[in-house]
Amino acid sequence: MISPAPLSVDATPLRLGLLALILISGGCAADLRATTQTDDGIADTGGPTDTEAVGGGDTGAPQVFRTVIDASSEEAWAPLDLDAAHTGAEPEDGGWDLQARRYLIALNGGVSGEGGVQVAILDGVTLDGVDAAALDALPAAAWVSDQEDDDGDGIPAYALNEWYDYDSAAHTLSPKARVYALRSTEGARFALQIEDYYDEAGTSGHLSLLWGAR
Amino acid sequence: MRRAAALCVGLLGAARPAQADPSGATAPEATPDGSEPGETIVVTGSRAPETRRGAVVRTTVITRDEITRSGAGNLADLLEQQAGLQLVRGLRGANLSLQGMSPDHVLVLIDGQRVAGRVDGAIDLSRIPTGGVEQVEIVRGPASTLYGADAMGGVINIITAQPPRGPALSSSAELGAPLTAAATSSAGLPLPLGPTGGHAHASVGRGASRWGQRFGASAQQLPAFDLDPGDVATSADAQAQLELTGQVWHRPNEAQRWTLRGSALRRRAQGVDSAETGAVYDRRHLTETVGLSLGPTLRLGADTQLQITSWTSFFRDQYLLDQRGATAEDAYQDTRDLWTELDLQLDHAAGPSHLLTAGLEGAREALWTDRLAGGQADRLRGAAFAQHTFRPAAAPRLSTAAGLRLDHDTQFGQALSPKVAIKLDATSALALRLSGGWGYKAPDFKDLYIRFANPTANYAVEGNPALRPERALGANLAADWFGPRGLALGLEGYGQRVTGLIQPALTSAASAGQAARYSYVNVAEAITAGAQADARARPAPWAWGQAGLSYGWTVDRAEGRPLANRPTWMATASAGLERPAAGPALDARLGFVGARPLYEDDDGDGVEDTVIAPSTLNLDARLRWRWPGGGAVWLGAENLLNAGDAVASPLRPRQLVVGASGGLPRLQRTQPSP
Repeated sequence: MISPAPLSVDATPLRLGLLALILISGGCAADLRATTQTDDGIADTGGPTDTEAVGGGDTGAPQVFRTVIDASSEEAWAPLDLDAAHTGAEPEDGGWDLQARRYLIALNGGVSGEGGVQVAILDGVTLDGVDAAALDALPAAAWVSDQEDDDGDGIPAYALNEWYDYDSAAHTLSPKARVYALRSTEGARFALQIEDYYDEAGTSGHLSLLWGAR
Repeated sequence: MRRAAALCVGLLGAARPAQADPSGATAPEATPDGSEPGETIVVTGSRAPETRRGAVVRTTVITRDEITRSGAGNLADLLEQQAGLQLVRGLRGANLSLQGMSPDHVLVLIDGQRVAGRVDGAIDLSRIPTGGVEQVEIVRGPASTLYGADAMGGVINIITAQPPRGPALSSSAELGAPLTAAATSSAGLPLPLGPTGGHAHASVGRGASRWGQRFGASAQQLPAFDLDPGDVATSADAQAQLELTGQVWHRPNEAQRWTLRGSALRRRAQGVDSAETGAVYDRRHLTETVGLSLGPTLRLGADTQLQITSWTSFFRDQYLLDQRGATAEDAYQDTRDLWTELDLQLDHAAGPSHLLTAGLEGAREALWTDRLAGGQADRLRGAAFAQHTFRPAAAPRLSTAAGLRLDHDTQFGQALSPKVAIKLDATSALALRLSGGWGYKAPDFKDLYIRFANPTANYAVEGNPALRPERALGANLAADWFGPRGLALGLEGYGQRVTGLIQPALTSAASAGQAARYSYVNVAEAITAGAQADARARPAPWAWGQAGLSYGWTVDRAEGRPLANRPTWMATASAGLERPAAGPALDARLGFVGARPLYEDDDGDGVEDTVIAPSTLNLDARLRWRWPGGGAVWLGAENLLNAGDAVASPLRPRQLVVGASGGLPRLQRTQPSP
């Protein structure tokens, strides 16, 4: 036979229990973002493209520039005006020569623009190995621009459509070892090579171009 | 009439189903099914106390002693040692697959109530510490009408310990450190140990005739580890977890028992991912769960009782991906889930051999996350069930349980699921069981709506709002034989046909422009079947052993291939030598998981390729020294064979553990004393 405990004893643990349950139930609310620094101290670069001289010029060799286009946006095109970048001038409205959005590169010519930009693909050469004479020797048929969609995927047949090799196992894009001759909106001629699709942090959509006037 | 009375007084503890009344006043004087008094009591199969050997539905039990011997600090490590249970380890934790069914088809309960906080559709079992667990019950297959969705593969019910009359304290702690040769050479440590992790648990309780309370706290900290030194990515996250639990019960008179329970859990996890692009990401998770339940068990006359349980749980999961050196691919996701449920269950013993159970369930689930198209979703679910259990008083003992369950979902309508179970005691030592029935599971929010992008692996998953509910028809056939010296042999076969099984599927291959896209689809038909044999024995007071072997076969009829990540063979074995009651004890455990297929589009052609995940063989050993009263210290080595790989089986590398436990007096066992 078990004797019931006094009521006064019964009530105390209940109150204590309720209090403890309320206390342990009140511990939620922290926001993970508030306790984690995620900006990595990165400053705003101020624009979609960034150009710097990386060689040539003083040595008599053609000057080489590197331009990084931030093409990481899924929606907006990031334009590059090579004529302006070459002279250091401000880019002109409508004067862009090519633009990039993710891995797509469009020319200001053909179905993509009215600037008359054309390119010619030069396989088996290096950027330094392409001079004005080499461009002069190109047949007229070698110069192409963007065409209408020819495979039904809804994307125009960009002249630079096949600038990369896709590694389907690693899901990475690697630029093909080729040089492009480009005739700009102002009729200037450039040699251009795509160097990378990723920035130092491994972010895709950061198109790095090496180029120079010819 | 004695049988009916014994059945009903036993039921009064069933608001928290597995518990015999802590006061001991309501413990059955004799088992109603003719089994030996003092035998292990189980509750999962029928939601009412019954002996393990007498249960109509076969129930596997892991006792407190077995938990202690296992050395497992959490439920995942414990269940991994059981025959036929497959632990699926991933970045978000460890989930359980049963009888070929995926983890989201396994219902996980604590004291009969659903565990809140499913991540990716399943409960992470490594977050549940074993410190306060008195018993774990496993019911395989869709045998019971008492549980609805999620229970198609089976039910895991975790029974927590109850305080005895008077105060009680229980505690344990363990430290573990990987044995790494690299640490020795580079850091010059006296022992070749890597980063230290560990877990600790403490529980205090006090019981009396009219009231009782118990509070527990557990903490766990595990370092990350890396099985692939070729990159900076970790193979498993570092984890830090704190859980607080509390329970108060009050019995104002002999006809009522009220139980209030609460729990709060906070868990942080952090790992490093890397991509082939060179990008490195710090990935963080913060998971918080709060649950509260309250309800009475009311005796309505000598043969009838009513259980009412209301409970609510709130779950928040935050995910932060921080790209090193950039912000372009940073991501943050905040998912909040509120579950509110009211359950009623009426039990009536009609005469000496009949138990009628009927109940109603109503639940509302609300989800908030920016991964949903509308940001928020909610649904209502309801169910009604009835079950009749018949246990004859005299031989031949042919016990039956038959029931019907009607599920209603505001989105998917009604579904009827009849189930039946039969147990035949062929002899006093041999029991045969057959159970079967229909199962039903409506798609969950994850399957329907959730979007998730993983830039590190270049894939995205999108929910499929057009999914249909899954239906299953399954059966289990089992034989158990009990011999002398604790010898027990079990053989169980199962088969289940699932229509509309929900599986992830590649919907568009990765290309230069976009990540691979996966979604969920209803597989036209899938079949799982298999068999399992297990044995245990204690040939001498100082020696014990147990072993299990399971074979599984699955097929996705639409694809004509096995279901992903299901091994054909699994095996476990453990044995120990121990001086009875106190003194030294030595035990070792072996676990084998056979090779299993995984399906991934490795070459980007839009067709999934088969990758065979290699088999693993895991060996643990431990030396303990025990004192009378329950105190113990131990030294062990885990994963001695260094099994595991970075891709398919991220097992923690070989490590050394030291631990201690103690208490005064020991918390009460759930089963009544002989």
